[in-house]
Amino acid sequence: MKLRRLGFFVELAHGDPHGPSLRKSGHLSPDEKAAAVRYLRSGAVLAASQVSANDHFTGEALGTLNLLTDGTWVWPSDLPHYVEAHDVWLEPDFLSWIVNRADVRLTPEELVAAEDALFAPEA
Amino acid sequence: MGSQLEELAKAIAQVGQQSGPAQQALASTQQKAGQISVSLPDDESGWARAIRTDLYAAAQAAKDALGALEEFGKTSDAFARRLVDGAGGGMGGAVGKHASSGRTIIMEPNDPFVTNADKASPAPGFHDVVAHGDATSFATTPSGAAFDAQEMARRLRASSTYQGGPIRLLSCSTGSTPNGAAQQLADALGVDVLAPTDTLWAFPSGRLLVSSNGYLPNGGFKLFKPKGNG
Repeated sequence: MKLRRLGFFVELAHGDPHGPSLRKSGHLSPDEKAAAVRYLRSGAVLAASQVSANDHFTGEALGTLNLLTDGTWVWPSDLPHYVEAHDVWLEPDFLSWIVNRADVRLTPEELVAAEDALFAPEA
Repeated sequence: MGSQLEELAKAIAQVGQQSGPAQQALASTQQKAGQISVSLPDDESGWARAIRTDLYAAAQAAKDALGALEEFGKTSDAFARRLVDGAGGGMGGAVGKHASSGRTIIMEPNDPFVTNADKASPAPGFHDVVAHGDATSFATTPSGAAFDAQEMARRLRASSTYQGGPIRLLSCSTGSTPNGAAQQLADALGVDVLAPTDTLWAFPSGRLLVSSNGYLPNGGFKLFKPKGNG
């Protein structure tokens, strides 16, 4: 099954032309936000780049940009920053998905399977 | 006997090198199929879906052929090396200069990019140079001081791992502009340089993808020839 994409905001250089807009939402409770940020930060590195990400609003350096995954979702490594600092919108499906879920732990084999799933055709 | 083996090794290595352009053409075909696919309308009910399916099949076929050619290139290179070693190393750099697909790393070796890129299939006849980069410069760390192509050429000449010959830059966006980092390095060293036109992503399997976001196939490797050499 194809990986579900999350946080490829259209305004970002590494965004998706058909992705959601990078808008402040404020729809998360403090507990939901903390859980989402923790889970997103625990993602396994699916693809590594050498470019630096910078905050779209402030220009703050956010470190090297990677793609992270849990085997079902894929997101850019700057997403937890945008959730934490700017309360950006996250898909309700993802918020339901992470309820009571432990931090991401993937084996090397699961990581390669996730890579295949990233490039699988749309169902 | 030794000279005959050397000639044979040279010929085998040359065949391996000549698969390089075919590999680039296949990679380009694969990426173009992807680009057309993502530009089709979202309506999945009719012709767009059928075309997308065909394009995916074409991209898969190109990928399979690419894998076979890469394997052929590696095999021919390794075979040529074994022949040379068996002949007592008499031809030294004659094969090594151009059939070498070694790697020079000019960034932190424990970086996830290096870990993944280390598994990438070599481009036959090209020596990989792994470094942080952008359109006009290089660096050893994302926030480190940038240096230009002349300095990169100096570091490569001083490197024990680079013996000369064409280079594949594993450095983001160094091939994104006509007279940028890749062209300047080609001019400085007088060798062909293959460089990514956008961000370069390295995956756990060793897959390399030139892409703005890590999954859209909207970039590629571009060849830069030294100016003045035709």
